[in-house]
Amino acid sequence: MQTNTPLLQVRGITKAFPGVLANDHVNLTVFSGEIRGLVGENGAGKTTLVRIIYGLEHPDAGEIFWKGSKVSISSPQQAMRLGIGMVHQHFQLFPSLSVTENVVLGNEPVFGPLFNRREAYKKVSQLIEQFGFELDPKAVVRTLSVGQQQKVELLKALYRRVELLILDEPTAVLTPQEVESLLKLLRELATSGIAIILISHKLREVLTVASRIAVMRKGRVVADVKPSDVTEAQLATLMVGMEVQRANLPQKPLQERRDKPVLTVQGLTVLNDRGRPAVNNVTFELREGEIIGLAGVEGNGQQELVEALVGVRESITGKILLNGKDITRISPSERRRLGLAVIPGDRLKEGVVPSATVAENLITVKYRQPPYNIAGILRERNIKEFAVSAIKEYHIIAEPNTAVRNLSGGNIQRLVIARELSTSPLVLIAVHPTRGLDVRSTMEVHERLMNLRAQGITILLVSTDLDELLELSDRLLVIFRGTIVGEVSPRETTPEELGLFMLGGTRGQLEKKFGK
Amino acid sequence: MGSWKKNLVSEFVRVGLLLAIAFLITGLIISLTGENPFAVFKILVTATFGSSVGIAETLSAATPLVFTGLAIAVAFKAGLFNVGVEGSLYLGAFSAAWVGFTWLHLPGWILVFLALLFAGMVGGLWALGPGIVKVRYNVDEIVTTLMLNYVAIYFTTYLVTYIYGVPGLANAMSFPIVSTARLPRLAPPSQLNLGFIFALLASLALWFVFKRTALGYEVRMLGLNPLCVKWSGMPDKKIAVKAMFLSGFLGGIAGAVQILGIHYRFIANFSPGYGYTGIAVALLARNNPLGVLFGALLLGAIYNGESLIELMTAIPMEIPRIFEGIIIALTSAELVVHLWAWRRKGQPQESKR
Amino acid sequence: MNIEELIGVTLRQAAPLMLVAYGGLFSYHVGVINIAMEAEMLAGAFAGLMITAWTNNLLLGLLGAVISAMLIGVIFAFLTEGLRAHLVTSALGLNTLIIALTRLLMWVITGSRGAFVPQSLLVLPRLQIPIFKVVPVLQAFSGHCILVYGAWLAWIFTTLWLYHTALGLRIRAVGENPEAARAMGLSIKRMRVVAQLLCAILCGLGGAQLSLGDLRLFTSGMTAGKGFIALAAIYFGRGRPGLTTLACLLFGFFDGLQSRLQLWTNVPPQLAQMIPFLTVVAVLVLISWRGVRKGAKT
Repeated sequence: MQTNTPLLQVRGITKAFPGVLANDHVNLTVFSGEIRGLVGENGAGKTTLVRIIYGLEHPDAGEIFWKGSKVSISSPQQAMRLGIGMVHQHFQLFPSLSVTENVVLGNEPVFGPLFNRREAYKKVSQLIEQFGFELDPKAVVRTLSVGQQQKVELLKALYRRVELLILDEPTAVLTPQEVESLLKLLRELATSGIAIILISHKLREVLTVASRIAVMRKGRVVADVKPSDVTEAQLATLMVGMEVQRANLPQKPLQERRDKPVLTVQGLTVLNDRGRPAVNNVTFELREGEIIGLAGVEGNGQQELVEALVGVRESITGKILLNGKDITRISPSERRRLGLAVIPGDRLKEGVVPSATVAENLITVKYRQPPYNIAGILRERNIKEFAVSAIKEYHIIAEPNTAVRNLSGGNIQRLVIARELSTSPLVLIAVHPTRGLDVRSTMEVHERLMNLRAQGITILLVSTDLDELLELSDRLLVIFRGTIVGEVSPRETTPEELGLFMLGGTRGQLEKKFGK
Repeated sequence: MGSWKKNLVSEFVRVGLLLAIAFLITGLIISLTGENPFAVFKILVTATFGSSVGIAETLSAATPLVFTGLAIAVAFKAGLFNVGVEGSLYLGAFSAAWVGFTWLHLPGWILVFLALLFAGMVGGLWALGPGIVKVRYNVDEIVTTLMLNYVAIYFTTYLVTYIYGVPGLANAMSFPIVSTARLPRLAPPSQLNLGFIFALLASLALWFVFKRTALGYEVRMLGLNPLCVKWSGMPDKKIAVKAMFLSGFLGGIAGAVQILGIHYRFIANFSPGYGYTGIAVALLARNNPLGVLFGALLLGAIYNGESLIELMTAIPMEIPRIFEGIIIALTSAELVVHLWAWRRKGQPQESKR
Repeated sequence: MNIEELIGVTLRQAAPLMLVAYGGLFSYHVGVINIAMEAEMLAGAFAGLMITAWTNNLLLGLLGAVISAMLIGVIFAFLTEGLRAHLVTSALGLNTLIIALTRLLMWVITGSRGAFVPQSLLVLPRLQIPIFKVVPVLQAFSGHCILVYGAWLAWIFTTLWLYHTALGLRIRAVGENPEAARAMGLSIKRMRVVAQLLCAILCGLGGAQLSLGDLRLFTSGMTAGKGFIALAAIYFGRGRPGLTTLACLLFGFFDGLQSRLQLWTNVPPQLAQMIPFLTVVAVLVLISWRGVRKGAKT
């Protein structure tokens, strides 16, 4: 059902963040009653675009037209007033409030100065029934399952008269049945005249419901297609831009394979900040000279797992063994002394002290040892020497006295790597080490990791970059909702299969799909 | 980090603007009392710089503020708010007095050394409790240290009223310290004493600690990015506790120096709030040990002039505290937002300590 | 050891704590640590007494208390939201400033230093509850000045406002997840300012209770840390009004206890006066120690 004027039209939308051009002259149109697919890899710019449409971000350039007239959407309030609703990828919910309170916040029915709870329950119950969600309007959101919370997100938009509904990765956390009912709902909404922008990783679903699909890559819309014109594989290629290269893996001759376990994790359970298990009874083993990739959509427990391995977060059950020694209750500094090193995932927050100098950051792991520290006094000359040699060896473009916050991302990463490797570790945990880096720096980091592997150092590579994982890992573990759901050999899988695995598919489902 | 000269200039501008606004508001408040603010400021300047006695008294007034300023600055550098310096000051003062009236036959310089050491240790231990419960159980250190201030003041008053005091006095005071424990006066008839030299030394010593020692390094790193400190395997909890101890230690010395240099006995409620004024000193100095000298001199000058102000205008001695409060309140405000916005770009930490 | 007296003095000492603590709950729930409560309370105590003495009108006095506290609240909000000053240092500065300013103004207006004890001051009316007066123990619940009962009303008022109005819902939402609140179209800044003003109103009343209630005077720094004790009560209750009230009663009890101890026993006054402050520290440590879950981030 299309009229002549698009409901929404964006032209030339450009938005840059420090270090990355998120949206590069993006054009997009959406008509009433259509389901518009929006696909692309992580970091392609999809979320930024819809956040701009919803008023959470302001574009650096470009125009937005709503029903033909130019508008400037400066806040979510304004977007909602126009009739735009959004279901966010990371839920914007209030865990301690009830379903109803979450839904009506901002548009509460009132009785004089008081919040008319009964009226609110009534309205929300009506909505719940209308759409067939099975929710208790009085339930506290914290107690709901992820799928139910998603429904609350949806209700928020449906409670307000929406003409354009944006959904950012809505099915990533749903069971297959829930996905089916959601897609059915979307079709119903579209039939009733609501326009929908659907962002999703799951190409199969997008192909099923969308009437047109826009493909984004590196901030630009690279294709705008009809589902009838493309296959899933073709879409994937458009998203990625090239064939995944698998040729770079140096094949290790069989007799060199070492089997000695270096890092063992047994039955590890770790709670997150809310007190829920983020890591659930996880067991795995890293062997000498291996690169083990840990694949998974962000937020499935990787951060908590790494924090427990490093010692920044306490685990509640299970054991961690480093070279046979139980380090479960040992302090982070001790673990480092025993040979553990880590490249943290958040460079600026966890990896370095941005207002300090390069030299000061380099010695955070060594400042208590001679020759840098004699009787409590820091030996500036030795520290400087060390810094200079590290700068040279790792090609850091800086002086020892440069403030780290003035360095580029790539240089900061080189600094972190230099620092960690200076302790001659046995095990290195690298958490998305190339995120936000340019191609050259990325290749550099990959080369270095491969060299470490050749030297016999064990690496746990935690990443959401599938190409990186496939290229570097000897074995791949997939984590989903805190458990290791499977182990694959990189040589025997594809990015699509891996992606599906990461979204919770089981081996059985995969075999059904791919007929292995 | 860049050219330190440029930083110095921007610091001067920042402090200058802050002081200008503080003087402006204080002046407005003074005019509320019916007095002419300019006349009052003139008295202040005369009292402070008008004579050599005035200058000496200013330096003497600055002495405790140097120590408390350093104490607060050390805690700030670690990312902690040790509002309990006042309490450490009281306990340290009493400890020094106790050494002074108990060990009567030791040579002077040993006595002074012991008194200072004991005062520092007691002050440091007093700050240790809140520090430990903060790092272990995340107990808000502002409330705990503040509460303990009252405890320290009451407790020391009790000690000199019932146990170590000269009986029958309206405001309790302890036995006098032995004369050999007194810090020599540097410029009679002013109260300026050796304690000021100690203050200078302490300032230099702390400058050295933060520039060249491992302890200074780890405290600085902790304050700048506690998360990275944890991930790097530095013992963040131990560092924080060490910082609190050092902070309390300096507070204790602040009290000791007042007793050994000026009062020669412990007097209940003797401190007009040196521990709190130290907050203004540290903030003005941006926690720089050498800058603390400047802040202490400024505030010392203003406090020194207040008695003269009261004499000549009958305004009660509240002007300095008003000024101090404005300074503390405004220090972290973005007064120079437009001019210096570039300095704030790229700083992921909005750490104002 | 007179139970009735203890109950009576507990209620009296807890009342200002309660009022301030309830105000602080609004701040707490909106996500702002409000250390300026001490300053707002002192301003309220000062203005309340001064204006009552000057105009001979209690209602104007209470109004003055509330307005002066709100003035502090506005300044604090301006500093922290407008100028993006640091929450703690700007509050500490305001505290110092207000202590000194009230002393100065007291001298300017009345010529007294240190304390102002007006000769004939209208006193907050006392409420006698006939039912209570019959039963011996319950007698202690009657005869207090109205603001003491007002504190209990404030408990109901605060609970109602926080949990049963749209505004309260929005305040809690902004405090729990500011980003999500923004996505729902709420103005975080506005909510914070509103919450702070509500806090200031109650703190002003708490201060007025202090100076106009039983003491009928103003001394410099008469709040003596009560603003922070109220903060401790909020921490104890983790933002729940009921538990906050319990903490205020507890602290009020120990405060009352120390004054009775001085009267009834030979305990040195200074040691007795230490008790309430030590209690606060002990309580805070205890609840934090219990609250440290195993498996939390270190």
